[in-house]
Amino acid sequence: MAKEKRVKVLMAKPGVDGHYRGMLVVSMALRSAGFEVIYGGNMSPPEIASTAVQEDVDVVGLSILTGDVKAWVSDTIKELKEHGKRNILLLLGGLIFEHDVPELKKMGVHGIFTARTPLNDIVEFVGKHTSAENRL
Amino acid sequence: MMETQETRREFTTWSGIPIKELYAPKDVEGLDYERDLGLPGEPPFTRGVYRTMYRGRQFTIRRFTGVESPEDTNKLYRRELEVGQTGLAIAPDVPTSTGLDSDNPRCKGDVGFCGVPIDSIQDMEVVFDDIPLDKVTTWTYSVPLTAMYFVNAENRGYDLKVIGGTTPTVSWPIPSPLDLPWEVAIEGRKREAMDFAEWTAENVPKWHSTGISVYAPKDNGLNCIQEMGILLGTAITAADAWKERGKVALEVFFRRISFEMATANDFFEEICKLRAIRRMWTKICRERYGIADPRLMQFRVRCQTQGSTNVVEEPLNNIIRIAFGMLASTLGGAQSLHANGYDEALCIPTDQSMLLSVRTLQIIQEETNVTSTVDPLAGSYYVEWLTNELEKRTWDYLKKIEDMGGMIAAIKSGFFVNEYKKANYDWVHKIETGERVVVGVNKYRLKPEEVPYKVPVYKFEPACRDRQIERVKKLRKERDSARVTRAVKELGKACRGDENTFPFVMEAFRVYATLQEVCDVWREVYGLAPHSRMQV
Repeated sequence: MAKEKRVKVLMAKPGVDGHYRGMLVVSMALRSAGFEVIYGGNMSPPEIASTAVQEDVDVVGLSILTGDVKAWVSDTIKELKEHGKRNILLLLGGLIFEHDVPELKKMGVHGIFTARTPLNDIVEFVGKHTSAENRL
Repeated sequence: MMETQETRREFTTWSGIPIKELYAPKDVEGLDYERDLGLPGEPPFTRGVYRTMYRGRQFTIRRFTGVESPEDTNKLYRRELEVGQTGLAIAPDVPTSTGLDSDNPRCKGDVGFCGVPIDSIQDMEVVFDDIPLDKVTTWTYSVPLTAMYFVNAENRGYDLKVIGGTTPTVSWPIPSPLDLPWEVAIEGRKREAMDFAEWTAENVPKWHSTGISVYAPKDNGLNCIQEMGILLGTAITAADAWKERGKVALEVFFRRISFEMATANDFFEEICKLRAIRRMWTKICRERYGIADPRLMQFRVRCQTQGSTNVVEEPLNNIIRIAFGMLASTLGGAQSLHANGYDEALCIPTDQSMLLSVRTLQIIQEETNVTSTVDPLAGSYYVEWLTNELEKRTWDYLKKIEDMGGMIAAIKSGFFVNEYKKANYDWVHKIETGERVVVGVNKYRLKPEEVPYKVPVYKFEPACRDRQIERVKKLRKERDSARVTRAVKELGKACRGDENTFPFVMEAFRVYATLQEVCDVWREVYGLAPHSRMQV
């Protein structure tokens, strides 16, 4: 049997905000759990989508601490679709208001992780949803 | 078994300095009053930079604020002054702090977030409408925003000689913790900062032109020793650059320098770091630069509570954390304070939290009576011992930086990126493992439904963004574009040549160039900072 491809994660911050702590720490946790992490830093939604295609990633993690979360998420999803990247696990972290959560999930975000989510919960979520049987 | 103080494994400060159970005279055996402490207002300034300290003049209450739109920010500033705030500080929104315009498609979801959008002097005019610029001092975030502030002051008929405030040199030569996108290469930032400082020394003599801020690095989770080391290392780099350039006397630089630090929760460490760093700065001024005039050795500092110490769980607890932090900075002898909003882990501060943070500082000033005598903790065995210990360990840290070839070499080698990464990770790790107790988070934690209150959350009004984008688009149509093109070209020429660039920046803004149009000139001439993207 061919060796299973390592799960690849693109971590990015839509827009120009510079609050990096969350994305950095989550990236380090995923990396040390054995995932392949591309740390994208600030990217525009088209850049996120084209990088996701070029790098053939399984997971896109968006970190948004300030900014119009719904606008960034919907633009990113639109770009991913336009780039033909459909079966991807989309994660969102940062400062997300509770009242926005249902709408964001409806838009297509699979996991939302706000402050103080234990790092291990994120690692487990990614592992579970990218395992062979659960792959989207 | 219940955990008691005695069963706790180890006692250390947040910087990792082991703490003894008790301190006694032998812990401060070599302390020489004249040499190590002296009188306040006299070298080595351990006890404070002014003779009478808060008796003569209370610390300035200066919050770093800005909301959604120039109009709303103007309302906020007036309100802050009404409730007794004594200084202003501009918090630009994310695109403005990056040097991009509101109509740049990259910034679509960022306009009006985290601060006020300022695209041109039109916006600056609105932000300071009806605020007496000769009465208030303002902290203006960056060199370009300071240029807009000066142009606006001139347009309103003020002589720049009466205008006071501070420009933090946010990005030179402090190692940026944010890995900022579209940042100009370090040589460009150095030129911008030095041209500005030289020009203001002559033309805006009351301005603190070199405000060195270590707030953002510390907020990444650095400890007090790293904070002090980076701050002093940066100041040394700036002073060396000034000396090497040799255009204006070194004394001018020392007269106009000021500092900014972040206040975390270790109460005594936050007090002692201010006492230690004043003494260290005095030594640096004297021994390294041969400064003789004591007034040029004063380490004037603004302290703000560190955002990362505030949490989303039971947010009202943050009020207590903030108050203790600000009390520590007061006992340490800071010149200007900013108490964060208790809700800043949730949203940008609401009116309620804005008022509370001003009141926190006023209660310290007016009710606690701690400002009635200078440096009240001097002579405490623990305080003097910890002050010495912090000083000793910070000299070691500075030595480490010097051994790497100084700050710039250390920045380029990636040393600080690693320091930040490690600090960020350690912070989370210590909280997850319970090594650092955060009440209501990893100890005495309630389920969300058990918390008996909710706090109001600031709601963003998306229409503000659309209005701001329209405003800058309209400006582009209505202004005299030939004059703008000419002014921007002249700035480019100055950047490529030897002339002082700052008057050209002012001139470009005067004819309604936008912020990004000016910043793009620097990007074009000096290039962008090499992608120092953090690798994980």
